[in-house]
Amino acid sequence: MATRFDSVSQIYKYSHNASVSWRSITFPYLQVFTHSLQKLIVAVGELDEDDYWFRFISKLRRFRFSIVAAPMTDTVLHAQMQSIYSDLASNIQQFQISFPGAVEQYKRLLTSSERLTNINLAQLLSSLTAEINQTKNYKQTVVLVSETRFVTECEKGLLELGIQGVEVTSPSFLREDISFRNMIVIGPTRWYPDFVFTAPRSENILILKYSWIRDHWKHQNSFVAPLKTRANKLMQTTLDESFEDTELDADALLPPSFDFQNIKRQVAAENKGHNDVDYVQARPFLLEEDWVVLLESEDTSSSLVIDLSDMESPVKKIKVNEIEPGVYVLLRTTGGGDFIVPIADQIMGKDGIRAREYQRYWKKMLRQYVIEFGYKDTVEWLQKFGATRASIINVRNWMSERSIKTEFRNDFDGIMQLLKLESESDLYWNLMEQIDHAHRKAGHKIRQMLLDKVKNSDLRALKRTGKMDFELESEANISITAFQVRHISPDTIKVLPWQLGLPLKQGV
Amino acid sequence: MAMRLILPDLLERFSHIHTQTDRGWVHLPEWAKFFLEVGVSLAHFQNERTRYVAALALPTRSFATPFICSGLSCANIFLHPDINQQHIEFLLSLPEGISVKYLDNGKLKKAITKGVVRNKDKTYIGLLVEGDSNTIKYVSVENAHKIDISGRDYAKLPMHQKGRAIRPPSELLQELLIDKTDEYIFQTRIDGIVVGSMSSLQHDSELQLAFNQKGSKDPEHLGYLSDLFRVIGLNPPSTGHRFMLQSATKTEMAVPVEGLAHHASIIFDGALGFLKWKDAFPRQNWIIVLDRTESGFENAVGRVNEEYIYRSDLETKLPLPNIPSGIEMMFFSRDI
Repeated sequence: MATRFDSVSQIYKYSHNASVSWRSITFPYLQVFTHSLQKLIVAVGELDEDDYWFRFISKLRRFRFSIVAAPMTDTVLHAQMQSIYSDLASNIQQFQISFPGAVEQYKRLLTSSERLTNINLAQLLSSLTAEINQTKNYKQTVVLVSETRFVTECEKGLLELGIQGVEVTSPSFLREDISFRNMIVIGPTRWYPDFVFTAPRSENILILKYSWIRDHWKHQNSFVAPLKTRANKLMQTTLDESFEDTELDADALLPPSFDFQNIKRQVAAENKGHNDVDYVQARPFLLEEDWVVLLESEDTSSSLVIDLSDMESPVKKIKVNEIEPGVYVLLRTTGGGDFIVPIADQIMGKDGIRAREYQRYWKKMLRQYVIEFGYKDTVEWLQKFGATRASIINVRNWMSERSIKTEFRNDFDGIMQLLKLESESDLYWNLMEQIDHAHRKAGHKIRQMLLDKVKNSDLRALKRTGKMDFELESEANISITAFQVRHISPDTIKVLPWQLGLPLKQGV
Repeated sequence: MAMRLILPDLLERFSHIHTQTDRGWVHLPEWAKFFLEVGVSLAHFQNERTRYVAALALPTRSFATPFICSGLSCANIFLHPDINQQHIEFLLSLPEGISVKYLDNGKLKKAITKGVVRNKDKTYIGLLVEGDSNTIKYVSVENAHKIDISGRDYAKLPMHQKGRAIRPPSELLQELLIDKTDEYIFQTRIDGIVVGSMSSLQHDSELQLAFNQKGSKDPEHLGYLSDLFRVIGLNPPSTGHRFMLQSATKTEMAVPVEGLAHHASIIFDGALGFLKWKDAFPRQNWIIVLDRTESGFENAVGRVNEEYIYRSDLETKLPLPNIPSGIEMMFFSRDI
């Protein structure tokens, strides 16, 4: 069996030997459709993101990219094509009013769409199958699709056509120390990160694409003044397809890129009518399959992740501000966003109901105090009452539903005095300790359950698709999903605590 | 200015390193030998006025840093004996009563310094050693590498302790470093700081190696990459180390930067660590190991290229080996 060191040697070998070739597929009706849509986009011009037609055209662009980039079955493509055609047909009158100058282009697109509803659309899948069948030892072949969301549909399509044992994956999987004899890349090189070709994981790379999509390839050094290195085959390969009228640039076909502004608007719309102290700062993270999650961005906030480089202990808790693209975050996908609270409540049983009521009560009282008198006065009074660690940041944290109690008793007593609850300070403190204890136990229990699950799962699937569900059997209510982080918003936004940790599907 | 490699023997011995693959024990592949040789070459860079920047763009980062660091440390121990002299001078300057660790016939013992004596042009370091606290043992300065400062205070030495047997130096190391083996494995000397992930470096370090000069099928002189690549936390605590580790993802600096020797290198194992921590080490040599598949690769390359703009006028050419396909490397120096 090959060791990891062997796999690395194989990668260096392919860095020297790998070659790339191109194969083009013709499909005139689809070519007309993609061109018609392009002409419509140009005719309509720039649109505001809030505009109905912006979303309408985004949907068309997303479909166009899927049909030229994903080898899917005719059944799947037909269903999508039919939906697109229906949308176009039902919107024509409205469009005529909004864009009288672009009606001609709209009608051409409608006609080309109608034509596509009556013919076999799975040309990409058929060509891929033919290529695989011609390949020796085809089980050592990997099919590379540009987006993770295409992996499952492509696998299904290949199975339907009798191809078994061929792995389908997206580029992030090729970050691993793995290699394949053959790699069939669906679509032009421009749709893929450079490393697919500069750090090849295969000896024979075939680019399979529609003929009218222009491709361009030329090796480029990364450093401005590199030392002389031994040339490899890929460095000597160039492709520069001629740009004729019938050809579309690969970039023009890409779907609209993800925009964090949209999620900010969505969150803001749900947030109206709350007081400023109710909010917490959160950072949006774009995850695989266009899910977005908001994670609290305080310095102390943490999240559970899977660290595939440490298989002894792959489930880890790391600070949110240490999460990088490529990391797999673990999120609860049934019920609320938090998976500690329900387990902690189970551990506490009936006693927990009372403890939670007391927890909610003192936090609510403290919030009301802050709303009425402001942070400055609250901090001053707390300090006078002996809460030596009172500061705006700490008060925010103490008020939060996500924290349980203060770390030190004197700070807690100060709060109780401020809220005129000092006679019950012991009772409150003991109940909060009970919750705290249950949370720690729950955290440990969940981590252990996850560890067992993760260690016994085929993590290759997670690496290939960037997403994986883990059903925690003994807790039927809790299902946790690992999502790979794709992008991180540079900005933070104000959200309500219940919006944290909840995956939100985008881009549909 | 072109430098000349002065360690041909070490490189020759490196050429006998084997590793176990699915085809049995074989010579190290070209890429792994290249990384060892890069480390050896970089150890030759000595310039009071400049520091070097060596950047590598690789198809995978796996094993690169451990091999480069191994080459660097193995070369340093031969190239910079003055560092050993510094260690001797440091031990000679210690007052009485300082707690030290002493390697006595393969066993690690607790000891307390008892001054320095000179006898017939020879200098000895006096030690009160555990298990024998009535007599002072005088250790010749030639064996100074067997003494190292302890992090603990041995106020009282136990009367009847036999010491703790430490893992004997690997046969691989003995074949490679010959008379420097004990010093290398026991004495701590900081060659640099690795900025990266402990778990992935640990994983790489577990690679089994062997020294096989005769070409037999079953090499006798076995060892691990971790014998060569000595990082605090990855080797047994009773032994010495050559590198400290700074986590690339952490927000706090975990290693003491002040007091790092001029020849010390910072090895950025990955784009993330480089982008996050490069400004913390403005005066040290940089070895930047970048993986083309990393999400921060382009950004890190951009920063390396920016550094190149400010390169020193003093052109330095290192005696680097031929660069294998798939590896891109840039080397330049910057004024300090």
